[in-house]
Amino acid sequence: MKKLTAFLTALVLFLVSAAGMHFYAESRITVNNNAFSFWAIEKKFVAREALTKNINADTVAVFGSSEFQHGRKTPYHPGNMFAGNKFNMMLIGAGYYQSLSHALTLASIGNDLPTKEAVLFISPQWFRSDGVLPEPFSSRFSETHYIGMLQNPNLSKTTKTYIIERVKTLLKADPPALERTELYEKVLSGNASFSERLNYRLYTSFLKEKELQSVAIRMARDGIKKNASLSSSEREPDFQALMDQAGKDGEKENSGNPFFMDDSSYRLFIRPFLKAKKNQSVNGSYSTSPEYADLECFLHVCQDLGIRPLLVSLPVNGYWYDYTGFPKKERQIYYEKIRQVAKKYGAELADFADQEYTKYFFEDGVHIGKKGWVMINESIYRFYQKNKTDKTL
Amino acid sequence: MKVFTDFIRKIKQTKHFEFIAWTVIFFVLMMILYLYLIHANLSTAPKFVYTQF
Amino acid sequence: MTFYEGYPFFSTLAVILLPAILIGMAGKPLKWYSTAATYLFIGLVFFNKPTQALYLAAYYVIQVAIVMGYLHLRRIKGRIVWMYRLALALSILPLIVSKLALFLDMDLFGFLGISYLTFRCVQIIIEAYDGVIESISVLEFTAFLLFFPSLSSGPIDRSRRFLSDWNTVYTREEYMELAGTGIYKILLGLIYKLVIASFFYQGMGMVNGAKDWYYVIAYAYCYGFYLFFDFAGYSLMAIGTSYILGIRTPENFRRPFLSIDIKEFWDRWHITLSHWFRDFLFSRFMIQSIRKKRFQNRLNAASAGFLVNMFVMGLWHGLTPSYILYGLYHGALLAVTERWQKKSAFYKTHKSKRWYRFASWFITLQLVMLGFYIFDGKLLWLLGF
Repeated sequence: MKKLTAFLTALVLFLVSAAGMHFYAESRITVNNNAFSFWAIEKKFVAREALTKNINADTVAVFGSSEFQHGRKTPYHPGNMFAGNKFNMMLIGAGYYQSLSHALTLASIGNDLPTKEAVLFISPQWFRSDGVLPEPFSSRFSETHYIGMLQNPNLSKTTKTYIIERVKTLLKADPPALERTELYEKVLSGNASFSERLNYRLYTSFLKEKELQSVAIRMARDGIKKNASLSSSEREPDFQALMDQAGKDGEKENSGNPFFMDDSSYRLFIRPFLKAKKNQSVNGSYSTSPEYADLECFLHVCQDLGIRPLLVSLPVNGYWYDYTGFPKKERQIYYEKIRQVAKKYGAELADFADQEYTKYFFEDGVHIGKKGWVMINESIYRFYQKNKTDKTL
Repeated sequence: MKVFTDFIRKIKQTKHFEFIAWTVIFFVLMMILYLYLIHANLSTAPKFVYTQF
Repeated sequence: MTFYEGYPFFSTLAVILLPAILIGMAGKPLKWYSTAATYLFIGLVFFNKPTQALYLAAYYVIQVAIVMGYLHLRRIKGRIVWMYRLALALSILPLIVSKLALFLDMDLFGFLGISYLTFRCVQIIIEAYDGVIESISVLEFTAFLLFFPSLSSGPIDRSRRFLSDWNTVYTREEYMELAGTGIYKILLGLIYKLVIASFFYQGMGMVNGAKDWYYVIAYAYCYGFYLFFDFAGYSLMAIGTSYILGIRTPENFRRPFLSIDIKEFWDRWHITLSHWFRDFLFSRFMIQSIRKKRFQNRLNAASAGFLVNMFVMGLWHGLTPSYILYGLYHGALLAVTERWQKKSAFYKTHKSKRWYRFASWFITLQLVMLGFYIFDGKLLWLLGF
């Protein structure tokens, strides 16, 4: 008698606790300041609900890769440069995120963006001859975004089909996830059996709860406060002063490496491999890659959803790429191809191809650093401002 | 210490000790499972690191 | 659907067990409901595996014929050795065929659970020959053989014990205690398998492939604990599920890593398997050996018995060099332990001292972990085979 009754009592207590945790997370997830937007961790990127609940009238969705996790403690990272500002960039991206992941995410959250503005940081390294690989893609794959994409009524059939087919090919690296995406597709196209629909309901509600609670806990851990001082300032950062400061800081943190990288990065990631890297990339090229089609897919999503894109064309560290022997000509071909794509889709382009040799633009061989962040932040801010005035006119 | 052992003895003497103990055990087991499922990384994607950039 | 894996299985299980709890609490017999649940689960699990389903069906028909046929002959003709041996051989044949086929990279009679079902059939035939089982109905045999909670990987129950539970109608009080224990075991098993086993599995992944001695040791320990928590977790869930259906399936593990010697280890690790082998192979080999005076003394007979017993257990796991080596390794350890405990004066004077017990436990743990390392095929890999 006792044991089964004890279990039922415990079950009731457990359900009450689970509900309590749910309501706590629910109340915690929406914040009144822009710290959430600039917070760049993976748990946030994949959690559809957490993203859409924190998008506001001054949010520009900004997609990129590992640069978001670099220089977070410097005054040049956008989170610090725009702290307290009304303007906020919803940063989405980390290493292994490429055009296709971002196209998928934008297709999922695009309708929830009041500004209808999206920025994509394009890394040249994405355009290796094999494009995005199955393993890194599946390690960043978000099922809630996939469902959001499937449910988006504004997405054209061709764009949707392209994304679905690409995802199916790449997810072969993760069979259980592939199986689930096939279930979602079947259920949402309306020809699933009763047990499949039940299966879908159960799993997706678990998934949503998991994302909600794990983001809420992580927010508490990372000090993302629900009610911090309100982000309401509309003051523009002094970009010129920041630029001067970036030059000085760069000099201070470089004790003489010839690539104008930060000492800490240089010592850790470059110096030990210096010999091996010399002229190692003489056959390098970014001119043919399936990544170009994925990039066009991102722009198709923008067209379908009426979103104005800004493409940020990132350069490579010229000093370092020359050392590794990566051909200058190939780099120019790549930059030109990006220009062509932008033109084809009428996308605004922030072209930094001519900054290859700007000292302290980079932190290391590929990640933007002090000056890089100042210049790019300014271009995004201008993009946001211009559209804002366009709208009020 | 004596207070503590007395306390334990007292609890053990209560009529409902066994019931309460089992309720606590069931509750803790369910909580462990739930928290694990909610917070563990359950991804089945293969681990992957680029050899170079 | 797979047994004890994935949320579709567990949500179905919850839905299926709920009526069982209500029936049990009403003090009504559970045997009809549990048999129906068995058919349902077999249907769901084998639904998308038609070849396996066909083999299972064929296997079932063959075993019913053998067991029923032998029981009938035993009743009318008495203890006739050749009939008994023939029935045994026929009953084991499908298992041997499937293992051989696997060895030759073929698939013949390979279906989930065949290794475990064979134990149940053989047990009935042996006990029929012994005269402790006189008859069993097809329905009872089916319920015992295919009982879904332990279909895929045990624990290996015994038919007389199983059927006495199966025919029991519990009072409300008894049942609620039983079901509570069952739920407790399922929850604990889930934690073992999901949380703890996957923790050690990640540890294995971190050190896998490295041949430095410390990585090898770390791997062996991670694998040993992984294997325990994975299998003990599964067993707990299987046992817990059967409790809710009114069947007190026997325990499979009892803190194996606390064993003080290898003999004790086999009394704590995969208990239903080792006890099956003890009762139906080892002790019968001993009786025969003594009767036929195959060996000079009892100790030699026991040593040989351990080797044969564990060698067959190794073969049963699969026809790979690592499994066979694993079996022989444990057979040799058991034989050496037996000799040491029977002959050594040192053992007899010190065996109950605290330091001896500690040292013995420590050495046993290392030997056990080395055994798992062999079992996983890693020792032969390390040696370059």
